[in-house]
Amino acid sequence: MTDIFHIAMVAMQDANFRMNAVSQNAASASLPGYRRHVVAGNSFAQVLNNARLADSQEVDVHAGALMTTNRPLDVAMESDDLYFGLTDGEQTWLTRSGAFRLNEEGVLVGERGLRVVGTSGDIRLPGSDVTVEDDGRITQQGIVLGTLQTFRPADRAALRAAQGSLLTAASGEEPTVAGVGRVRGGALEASNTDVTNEMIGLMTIARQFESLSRVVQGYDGVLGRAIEKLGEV
Amino acid sequence: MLDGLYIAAVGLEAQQRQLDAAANNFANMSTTAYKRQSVDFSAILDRATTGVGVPADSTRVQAAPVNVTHLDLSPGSVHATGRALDVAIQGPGFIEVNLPDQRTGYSRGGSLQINVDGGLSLAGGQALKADIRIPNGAANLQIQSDGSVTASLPGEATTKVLGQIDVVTFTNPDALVYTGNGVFTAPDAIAEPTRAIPGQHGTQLLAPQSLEASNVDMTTEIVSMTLVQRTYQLNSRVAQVADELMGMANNMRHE
Repeated sequence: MTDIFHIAMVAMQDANFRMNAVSQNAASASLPGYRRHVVAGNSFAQVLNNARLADSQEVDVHAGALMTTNRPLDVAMESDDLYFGLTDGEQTWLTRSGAFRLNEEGVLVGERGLRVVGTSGDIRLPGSDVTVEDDGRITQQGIVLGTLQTFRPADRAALRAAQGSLLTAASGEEPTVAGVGRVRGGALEASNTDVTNEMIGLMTIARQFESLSRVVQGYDGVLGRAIEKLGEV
Repeated sequence: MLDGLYIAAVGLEAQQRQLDAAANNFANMSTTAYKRQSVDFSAILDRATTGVGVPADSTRVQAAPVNVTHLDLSPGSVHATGRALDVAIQGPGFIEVNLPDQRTGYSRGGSLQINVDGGLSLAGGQALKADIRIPNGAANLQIQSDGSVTASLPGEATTKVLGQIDVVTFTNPDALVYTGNGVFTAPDAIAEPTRAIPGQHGTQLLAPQSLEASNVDMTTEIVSMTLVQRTYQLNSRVAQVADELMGMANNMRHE
């Protein structure tokens, strides 16, 4: 008899997960290189069979718009399916955010101070007065100081959101051959959060949640009346 | 369920900070050698997002402490003023000054003055670390493009070099902290700067009798302000809807 309550609860949880994704996307609307989170759809059968849904967040891999910043260490990835690598020495994250800077040791770092992966390890620069060439080489007065390594996820559908603009590739990532990726120095890729999409998502979630709460209320009323009627006998 | 509300709140805070930075930039649009500030969003988001829907251990990133505000150190345009003690730095680099608390400050130049002790100082009164004394009666005082300060002294036929202004450069100047009045300070973690005579070791010559304009670009600021406003709006709607959902959940049982 509690089946209907249960189904409504599971569907409300699902709405909740989608609400979380929308708020993440809205909060990160100005984070360069951010990829909007989308909740992978749960089928009706799944909703019916599972006691608790898994909150499986995938990312929308469409590229955001490029903005020119003219900052030498800002790099935008022009190739759609390629990513920069950031590492803390143990794990490598993928990101589209090329808002790089130098840390106190002169090593090129990206988001959260993670080191940018170059074709031969860390990239050390004498200063931020450099040029990033189209093929990812970082030069100063014609001398190559390092080359950005680009990565291609083995399966783009297996990309998962970590924090901020960082992504993890569940299927593993493959470094691409140097010169394959096209990058643009002095530019950043904007977050691909789309205000219209998020607003419509927001409205859908609110209305769906509302009708689910009506279902619960209505069924609650039916149960209440049934118990009262049966008690009269 | 509270997650949606909290995340939206962080989004609002991020936009608020961005607006603060834009206001600062607008206010300093005509300040000599002002460097525009921008906000590092990832630093703000870091504090709140525990990675919603993300397995906590596998993807949790240990964040290095970062400044929320970043400096855009791109050079501003240099324009001639004709005043003998105005000086602008071209390209990267700073002039070292002594701060009242014994620390070293870094300046992008500006209208220099002679303070009460006869030493060359910034307009704010901080003496240059090079400690250049201008004797009484010195005339025809000039800052040369290689940083040497010259003057003709009474009773001497040739001009005399009174001192040398050096330029220092940092590997990661972005980490400098702006303390106001055109003075930056270096955090403890920053690498030691390298000192050079202007025009040598990759530095450029000084621009004497000139001032560096602020690098704030009005169009960029206005565009970013419009974006800030709309993003703020979106985030406040998200917060409202999250609140409505909670209201609905609370009112499900109304008898």
